[in-house]
Amino acid sequence: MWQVSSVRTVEVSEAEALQAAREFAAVLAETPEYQVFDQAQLRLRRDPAAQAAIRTFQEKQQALGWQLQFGLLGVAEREELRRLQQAMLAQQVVRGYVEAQERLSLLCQEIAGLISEVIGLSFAASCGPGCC
Amino acid sequence: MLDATVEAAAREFALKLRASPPIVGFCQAKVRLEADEEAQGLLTELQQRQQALMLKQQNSRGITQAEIDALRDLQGEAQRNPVIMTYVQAQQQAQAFLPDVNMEISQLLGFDFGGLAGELMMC
Repeated sequence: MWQVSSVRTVEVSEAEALQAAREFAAVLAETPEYQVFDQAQLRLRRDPAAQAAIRTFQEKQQALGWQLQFGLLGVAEREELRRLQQAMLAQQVVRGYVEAQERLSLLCQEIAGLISEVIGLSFAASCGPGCC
Repeated sequence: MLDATVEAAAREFALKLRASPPIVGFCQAKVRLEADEEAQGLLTELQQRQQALMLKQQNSRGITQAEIDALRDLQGEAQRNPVIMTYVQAQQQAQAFLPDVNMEISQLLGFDFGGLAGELMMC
């Protein structure tokens, strides 16, 4: 429950809040979770075989479009997609990236939870779905 | 369990964010909404009527025109209520500011912080 007095305390400008966001990001960048993710991301970008496996899987996903979105795939198409996904995840570099992303995601969820609790609004939900 | 340094940095950032005009405006509007009996009564009645109509629909029972009209009247009343509308606008302004904040963090880190905090995605 918010108290009127607590929200009438020192007000900071939007620019100051954005500066605080940058300062927080700099601390987050020093965490082991981020460092491991950053390295995994770099390895992924530099690995042609991993890139090819991801591209093949994503191209298939896009080709299947709305059928995939609404769960209307035939048995053969579903099997083909599963095979391509497995081929992608069989790449050690891809697996390393996914695992690093999962660990970083857990950390981000915990931090976003803390932020949401303080501001009284869901931070992640307000930012909407996005991609890096 | 968050590392103490990360938790302190996140808390400091969150407190500054809470003190920024869009979030202060939202918090104040929320306090007023919660304290306003008329607005609370309207919102509770609106929620109850909506739930009752949904339940009727789920049970394949017909909804009468009078029930629809009554719901619309109530919605109109809520939209004319200054405390409710101030809250809605303040919430929209706060929610419009948060993506900018997220962008600031994400640009520095090279990934979508809010997106990753919400769900996993393959880049």
